[in-house]
Amino acid sequence: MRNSLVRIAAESLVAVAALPLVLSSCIKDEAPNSEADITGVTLPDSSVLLREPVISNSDITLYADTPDSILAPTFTLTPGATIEPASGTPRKFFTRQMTVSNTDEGKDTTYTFVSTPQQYTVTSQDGQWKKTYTVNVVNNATPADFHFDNVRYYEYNGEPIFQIFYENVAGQNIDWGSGNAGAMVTLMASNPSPADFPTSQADGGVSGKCAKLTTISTGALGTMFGAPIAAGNLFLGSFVVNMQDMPASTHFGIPLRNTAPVSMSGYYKYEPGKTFIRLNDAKNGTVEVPGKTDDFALYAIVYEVTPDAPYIDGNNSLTSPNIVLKAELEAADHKTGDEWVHFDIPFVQQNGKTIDRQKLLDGKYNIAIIMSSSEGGARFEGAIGSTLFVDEIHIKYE
Amino acid sequence: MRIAGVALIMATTLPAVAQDNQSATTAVPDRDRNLTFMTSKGWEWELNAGLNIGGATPLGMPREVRKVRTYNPKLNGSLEGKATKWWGADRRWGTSVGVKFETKAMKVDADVKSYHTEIIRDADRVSGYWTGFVDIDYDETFFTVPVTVDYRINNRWKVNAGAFFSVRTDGSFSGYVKDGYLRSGNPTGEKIVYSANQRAAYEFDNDLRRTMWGVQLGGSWRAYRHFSVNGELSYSFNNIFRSGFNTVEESLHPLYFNIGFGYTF
Repeated sequence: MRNSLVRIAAESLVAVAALPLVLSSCIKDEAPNSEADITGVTLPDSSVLLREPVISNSDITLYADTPDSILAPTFTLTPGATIEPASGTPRKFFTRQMTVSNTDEGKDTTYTFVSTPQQYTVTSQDGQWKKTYTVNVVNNATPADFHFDNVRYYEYNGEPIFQIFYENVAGQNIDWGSGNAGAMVTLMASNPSPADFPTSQADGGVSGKCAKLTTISTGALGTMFGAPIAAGNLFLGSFVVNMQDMPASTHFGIPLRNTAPVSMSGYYKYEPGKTFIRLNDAKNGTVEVPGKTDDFALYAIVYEVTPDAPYIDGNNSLTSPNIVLKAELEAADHKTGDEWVHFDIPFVQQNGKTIDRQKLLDGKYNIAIIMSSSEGGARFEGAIGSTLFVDEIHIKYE
Repeated sequence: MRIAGVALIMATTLPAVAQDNQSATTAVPDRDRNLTFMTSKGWEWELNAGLNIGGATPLGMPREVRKVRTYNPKLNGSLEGKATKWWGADRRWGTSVGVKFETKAMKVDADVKSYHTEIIRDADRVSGYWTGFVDIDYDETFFTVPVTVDYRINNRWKVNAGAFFSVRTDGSFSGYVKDGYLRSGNPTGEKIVYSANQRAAYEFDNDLRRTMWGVQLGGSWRAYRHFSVNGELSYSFNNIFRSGFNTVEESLHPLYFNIGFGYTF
């Protein structure tokens, strides 16, 4: 009898132990991939690429040092996805524009390479999803004037979601990066218009339109993600959202070529929000910091690009030993109010370093202009409603 | 887990009690006069202790689940008092009503691919597709009333089938994701990467439903006069989550096998 008891108990246990096996044996055939990403891009002669290609969710920027206006990039895609036009198709990324001017000595002819960004459409393996990428090649442009008059739209399901600023520098498009893509994840809940995003274009610039950076609340979802506020920010570089290390999302810098900057000038106006708050780790909510007033950030850096440090991000944009030059509007000089404030600040040597001419010619330096409506925004410190307007930034070169 | 402890003590001490009773010279005089009277009218009283082993499972594994890394049924106790009324002269058929405290739980680690999920906080909603590692820790305690029809095959074997109604007294459904990425909105949306050491925790305790009902099928083998071994399979018709909760897209239905020991008075 005791043996039967043991046997029944044992058999029951075996039957029960088989349950998870039954569950795992039910795993179905893998579905075809539904993603439609370009994961890599290269050129037939990859040595002309100055930097690793910058690939965002729907834009690709190639910094290339090439006299060719027709290029045939090849793409790596999500497994099973297809691309149209096909990888390796030669396409015209630049239009050569001839300018003839009359001088005392006769006619002077100059050529400029005008960007003609090309579009590619990727279709997922399961055929259900399509994504259009815009591929832009930047060839040896030195950005000097920033007007904030040009925007295009980040689109999602064919709808314009937020604005992407770009500047036309000698015919070539240089994009400004912003954290809008990160704010989008939580903002989409409330059907935002482009003006609801932390970084957007506004009327009433010093000349034409201007950039408006506002610190906003990201609502209950943002709080849940541990990102309860989003500061408006705008920078030369690209944004790759990293929810758990937000400062690392901002990849600052674009290649600097040929000449070193001397000073940065422009206009701003700033009004801090009423209540300064910071992230309260205990609850993932925010707490008020009494007596503290929000402040903005506005500075530019030049840093050396090394294999270990292909870019500088929000964690080390003021502290990296690779920084060679910095132009920063000192906090003590920050003004608030409704009037445009003109500034002109010199680039100052950092870390005891100087610009190496050869490295400059070889494209070993990056330049970044960085601004934010809350200087602590990346750490979720600031005041909801803090607003920074910026216009007509000019970088003076040697 | 509190119930698990009680059930374990029951399971380990009951056999000893059963043997004590059998070694007594006459069992009948030991029993209460009322109990004897009730037994003669076809009533039977049992106290059962057991372990629930199983999980909250979808009807068919979703295609998005690529691999179940670990599955831990956990130690879930149950403690039940049960009354049976046997009918007719031969007392083959009977009906039972029970009162049961039980825990249903599981812990699962799995890899998923493009698993659609939607998170709603207040009026805000974000949806997306997760690819990567998922940890699920599910634990609920119920007050359950089972009602069954019983059939006595012979002196040793009884089988029963019926329905149960549960009210949750405590519960949690939580866990984390890591080592993967979320596509915001649809599979072409913004990609938010989480590395192997970046955990994003979730907790849906407040989204569990309060009451459940389902069916159960059981059998009992009497080892000694007062002592039996019980097995019982139960399946809930309800999703463990309240309606309108779409973060976990599949309906998860508790499917548990209970194995235990019973003492018949």
